[in-house]
Amino acid sequence: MYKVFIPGNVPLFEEHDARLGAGYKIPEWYKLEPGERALEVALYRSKKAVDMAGNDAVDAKARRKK
Amino acid sequence: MAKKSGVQVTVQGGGKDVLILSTGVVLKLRTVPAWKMNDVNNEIPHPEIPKVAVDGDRMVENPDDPDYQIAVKKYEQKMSDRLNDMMIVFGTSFLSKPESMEGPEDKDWLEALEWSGTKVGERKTDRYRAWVKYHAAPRVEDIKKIIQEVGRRSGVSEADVKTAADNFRGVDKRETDN
Repeated sequence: MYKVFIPGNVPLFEEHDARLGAGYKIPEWYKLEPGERALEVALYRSKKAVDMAGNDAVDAKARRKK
Repeated sequence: MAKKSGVQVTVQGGGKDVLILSTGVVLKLRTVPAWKMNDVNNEIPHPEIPKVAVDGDRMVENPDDPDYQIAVKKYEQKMSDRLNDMMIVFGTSFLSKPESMEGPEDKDWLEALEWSGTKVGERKTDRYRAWVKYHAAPRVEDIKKIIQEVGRRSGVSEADVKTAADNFRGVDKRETDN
């Protein structure tokens, strides 16, 4: 689990993982509107969920073959 | 709109630089340095989970221990107070107030507060923090607003992420409907 520094906020590590994934440098990131940063984090989370679903499907297929 | 992801979704509610409290006081919003919050996390240690012996000498953690539960509640309260103070001191500055209201440098509000037993330090920052908490932002909603808006500027709010994710679902729905 990521550590939450500000109550109600996305954990810092996750925020910056999303930032790096979206290709922003730190100064560029903080020039974005709060809603724009939130959009990048939402995209990051949905991509992660898709990746995990893909991995589960591959895993399930491999188990069926055994 | 998000620049690099290329997704064409506008998210509501960004870009506010000032906050108007229920008393009419206007505060300027600033970004709290992320490492300041990290410092708070480091300076207040989380209570250790006590261990109990089971099956002879095997020790296991017991988070249900009543003393531990009390210690966790105290820890959370202390952490919350400290984070709120950081948000006020580093995340806001005084812009304006109604004419009839006392400002941070005035004396009557401070005297009443000290009479009631709340100690306020001598520093300008001590005064500002106490003035916001006890005079400028007397309602729970005011404090919530400060935390929410400073939090949004200083990182990414979970509520904003939820709004953005809901917008994705809206886009998907329109595409499916067509």
